[in-house]
Amino acid sequence: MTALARSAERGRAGIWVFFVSEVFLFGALLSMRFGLWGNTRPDLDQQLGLLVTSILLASSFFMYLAETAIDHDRRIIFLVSMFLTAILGIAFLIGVIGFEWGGHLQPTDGVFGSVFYAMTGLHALHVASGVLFIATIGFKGLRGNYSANDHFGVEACAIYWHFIDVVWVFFYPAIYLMGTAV
Amino acid sequence: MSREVLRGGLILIFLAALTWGELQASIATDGSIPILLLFSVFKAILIAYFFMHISRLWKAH
Repeated sequence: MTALARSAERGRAGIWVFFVSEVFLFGALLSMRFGLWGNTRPDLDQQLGLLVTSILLASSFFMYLAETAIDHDRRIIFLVSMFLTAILGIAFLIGVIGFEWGGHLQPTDGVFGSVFYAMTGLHALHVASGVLFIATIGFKGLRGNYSANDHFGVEACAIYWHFIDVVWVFFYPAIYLMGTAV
Repeated sequence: MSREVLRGGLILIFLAALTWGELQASIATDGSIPILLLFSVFKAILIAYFFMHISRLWKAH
């Protein structure tokens, strides 16, 4: 095994350890939702929830496309896909922070407000850091970094992005769909 | 590469269909938690394909 492969192997192990800690963090938020909201939920904009969810799912596809492209040394497809992923990530943030947070539910509105803002806020923070991660990798890609044999940075970024997507797959129904709207 | 892109596209279509089904199930069952959790688990399994594809943990060096 080469030094490069060994380094990537250690990096991969580190990422998965990091995700375990993240699972505990987001798991705690989900537990909080079920404990405090039970079989109820706030009345939120369903169309907006569906839209931001679709945007994030589509972004995961483009991230997959970016990683597949660099794996085949298709640099243009890689760069365009990274750009589209970042744009969709920003669109998700605009949907949640710009529109959903501007709705009738406020952080001071009891358990509904506090849990909603804690869940969407922490997730949005991860999406924002993911967008910065994508921008960093994208700029490095523009400067000629990464190839089919050496693209651990892209892989790490892709894994992080898909993880954020998986978290939202559980958060979306927990916030928007589960229980009776009150 | 085109085969991998096709697989990714199919997964995206399945994810979209499950999301739509999730919304309809929520309306039909008045937000049944176990049913909606099942949808989330299926969607997470589909996204796991992206993880497995990209992670060299499942690939030989």
